[in-house]
Amino acid sequence: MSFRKRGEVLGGPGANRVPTLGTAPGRLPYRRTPGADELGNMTDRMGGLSMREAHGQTDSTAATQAPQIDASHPGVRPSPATSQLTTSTGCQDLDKLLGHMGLPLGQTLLIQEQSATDFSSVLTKLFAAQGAVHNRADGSSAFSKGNTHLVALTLNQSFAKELPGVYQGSKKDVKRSKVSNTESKITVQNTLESATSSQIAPRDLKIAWRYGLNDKSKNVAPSNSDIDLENYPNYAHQFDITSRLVPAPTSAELTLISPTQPLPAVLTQLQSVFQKYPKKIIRIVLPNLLHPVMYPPSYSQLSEVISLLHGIRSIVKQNAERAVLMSTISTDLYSQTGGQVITTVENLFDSVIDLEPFPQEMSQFLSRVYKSQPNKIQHGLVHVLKLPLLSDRGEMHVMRSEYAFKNGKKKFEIEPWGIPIDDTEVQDSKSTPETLAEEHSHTRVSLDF
Amino acid sequence: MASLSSQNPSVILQRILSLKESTPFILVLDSIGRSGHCILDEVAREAESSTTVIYVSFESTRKPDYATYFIEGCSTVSRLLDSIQPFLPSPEQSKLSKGKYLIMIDCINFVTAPNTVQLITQLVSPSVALVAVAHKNHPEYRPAELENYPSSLQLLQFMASSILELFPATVDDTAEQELESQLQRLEIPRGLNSPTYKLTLTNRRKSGRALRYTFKCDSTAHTFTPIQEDISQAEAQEGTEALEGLTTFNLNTSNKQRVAKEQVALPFLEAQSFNTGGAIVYEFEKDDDYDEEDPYEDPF
Amino acid sequence: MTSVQKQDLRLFDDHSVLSQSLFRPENHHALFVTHKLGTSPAWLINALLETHILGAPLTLNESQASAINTANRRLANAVTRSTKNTAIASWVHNSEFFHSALGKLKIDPSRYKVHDYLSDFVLKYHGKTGQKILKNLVQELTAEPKPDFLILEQPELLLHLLNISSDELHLDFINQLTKIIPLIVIVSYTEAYDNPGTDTSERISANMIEQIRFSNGCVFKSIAVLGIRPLKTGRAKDVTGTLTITRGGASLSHLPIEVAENEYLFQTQKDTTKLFYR
Repeated sequence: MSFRKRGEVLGGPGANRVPTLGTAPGRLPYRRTPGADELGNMTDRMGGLSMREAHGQTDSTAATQAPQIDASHPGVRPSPATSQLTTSTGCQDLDKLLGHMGLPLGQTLLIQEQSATDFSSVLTKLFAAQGAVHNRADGSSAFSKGNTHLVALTLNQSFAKELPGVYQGSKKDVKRSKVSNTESKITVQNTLESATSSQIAPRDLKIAWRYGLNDKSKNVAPSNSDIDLENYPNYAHQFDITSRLVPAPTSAELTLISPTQPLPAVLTQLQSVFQKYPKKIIRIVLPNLLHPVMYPPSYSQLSEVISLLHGIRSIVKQNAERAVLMSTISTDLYSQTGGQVITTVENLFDSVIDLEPFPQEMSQFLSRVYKSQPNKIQHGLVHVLKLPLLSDRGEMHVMRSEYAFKNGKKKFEIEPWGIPIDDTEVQDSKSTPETLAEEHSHTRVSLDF
Repeated sequence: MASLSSQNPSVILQRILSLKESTPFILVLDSIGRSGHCILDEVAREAESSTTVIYVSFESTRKPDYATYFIEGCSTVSRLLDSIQPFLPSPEQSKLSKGKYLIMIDCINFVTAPNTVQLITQLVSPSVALVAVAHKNHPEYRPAELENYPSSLQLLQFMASSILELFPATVDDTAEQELESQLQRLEIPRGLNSPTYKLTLTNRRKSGRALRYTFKCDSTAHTFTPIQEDISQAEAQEGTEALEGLTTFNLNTSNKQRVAKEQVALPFLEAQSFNTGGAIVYEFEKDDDYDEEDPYEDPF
Repeated sequence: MTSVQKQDLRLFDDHSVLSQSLFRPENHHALFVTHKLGTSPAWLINALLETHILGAPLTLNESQASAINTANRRLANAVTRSTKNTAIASWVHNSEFFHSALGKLKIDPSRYKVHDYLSDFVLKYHGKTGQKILKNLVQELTAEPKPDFLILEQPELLLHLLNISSDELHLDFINQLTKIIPLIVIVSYTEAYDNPGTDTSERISANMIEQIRFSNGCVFKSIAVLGIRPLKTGRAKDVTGTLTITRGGASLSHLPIEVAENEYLFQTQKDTTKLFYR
């Protein structure tokens, strides 16, 4: 059993793609995470999806399902709540949380993060990577034509190279034959790997890309009962944050805009992107808004930051039928002014989600409670402040501490939050000073939340 | 003193509102809980019909019916003075005409602290009275170089000859606190700005003494009912005097006695110094009646 | 809660939402709508627009279908009302937002004017002098045909967009508008408002000072304040929030009406909002 899992992991992004990627310098080498043995246990909601399908199957699905998808864009579906066209954020749980199975076109989303942690950047990367994958979903012509364009307002020149690749792990719902087929390939490759890695490179690329392209019939997975998945096979993907998107988006797919430029320059550049790609969905990412390294100090003035956001909001709303925006901000840096900056910034976004990573004691408590199930440990709370479209029309969607998130290798999960029961407390009839202290911290923490 | 205290507070207020008292500058302090515009209405109502009312509006959306002239406020004082002065009498005129001039400013907060003095001194004269509304809890921007300069509210209170401070009528202290915390977040409950409200009058006499009265007002019936000063407050001020002659023996404490009294460490202070937290310390004394049989009497 | 009695919205004691006496000649008034995080005022803005255009807030308490019916009937014989000029200026929503909301009642876009100050506002005005822009805006907003009813949605953003002070915004913009337009509604987001009062030694940031001065100024200016906020207890299935109607700082003694102070609970779901009492 363990052999098989090993094989899968190796067959995943690490073994498969790292060698092929001479074009993307600065990639992180694949690291095997401690939790990797749990791969088989994962709750794979979108299990039918894989890199293969994402890149290969589209020709057939796009053809057969074109009538159902508006403009035959693979990354768009109607919202179940408002039937407005919606695109995935790249994180399925976030899609669900937003109430539309994604972010409706023309809407903006702000992810706040309360401490110096960087969970929110995972979400921006997923958001951007999802756009790139949508863009490539149409097949080989994607690089020249494409359906989606990314815009990132960042100083980080290697933003494109940091995007995660599609998760390629086990697929429970795919035919067994296919699984064994893959396995056998992996095993072969596994044995060869040490010897001739350079030789394998083109073959792996074949597996990932070209084989998939031609293997349409094999990849159609009728066994999957998930209607959403069937109707919108390329709508949402699962990403492996330890891998890298290959090849990294080029300037044809991603436009970087430097936030240090004068404000009108930023806005006109953003506008010109819309003019340059008139038929594409434009996904705008504003990672680390007001981050002191990226934004000059003058942006801490409300007059500057509000003008920037107002201008960007105006562009998104003018192109409401094909623009989405996600931004992240670290609220700790700007909380000292009585929340004025944060509140005013929030006001200019259609939807706002707040991440509150757990403090040390809480994390320790959780890791003790979930000693045997480390994959259940949550990393923090998710507060919903505004939901796209729904909040704007007056519905009340402030939900504090109702959800928790956990960030894993292959998924950023958001689930309903409840303080777990500490079994050790019940079992330990002897109250040693240690457990007393822990009990104390527990009650304190639970009061806090 | 006796003559002043015996005067009816309502009469003093009435005289101030009708500009009969010599108070050239009346300051009306209000808050969003009870706006001061009702006082302007009262003043206009009490004023003689011959009074020329110059209404300087920073806030009012419409010209009040009683206003003779309606002037739009602007933030620069020199321009403001330029627009008001043409309506004011020249020194010769003021000797001739009997009619009074009254300037009303509906929100003086728009004038910055350094300009306040200039504005008031230039407007007020024997024949011209000034009634200005200032909002409390209305913070102002203070440049660093004027950090030590008094705030405009302090300046106004310092210069005003009479101060009318308005409060919304509240039932008790808890209601007042609740209201305060709501207004802090601009959550406005019902019942504010109502025709009935509380008014505190501070009248500075020529002698330098300030009188302070509190009224319960009704702006529809135009009544002002004085509220008796808080008795406990009065007593605190003259505590020693109150005890004088009350009994045949001496209730007062000498200074020496008071110092000694203050130095007595009260038991709860002692208790706080225990490091172990609450503990009952019992020392057996020979007089104690200790019953070994009684389970409830175990002091340990 | 399903059987609760629906309540009609009324702001004045003559049972009206927007009393006719407010539109008497030489009268100028302001209303102030405050809202907080979680309760967007879109439904109330629509209700006020409907009231002015059609005579009643049709979408309140009604299913959409019946609201459309009533709207059609009213639109058919609303010739007499065509003298009204309704306008809305928004700094957070573009015209599409209002067209789609009012379009549901088949209200023709020609019956009201939307000043879209979201689109390209920054590109158009960034770095220019605030005074001139304010003058321009006042001219635009009061251009013929002069509106007799104007809703300003989040004009406080001008503080930051034009980098001006609250006093300038009041004196050079809002006062100029109230001088010309009979009834103005200022809709403002007051989530950040936190006024510790003058007694505290707490230092208030410059931004907060401007926010407090702006909001307070609006309260003093208005005859009524309409506060929308979520329940203190947080989210509930059957209640979205409360709408509190209170007197503002400006007096109404010159008119035969008074503000009908009231506190409604409301529930917004999809496109309908229902009002009821606790």
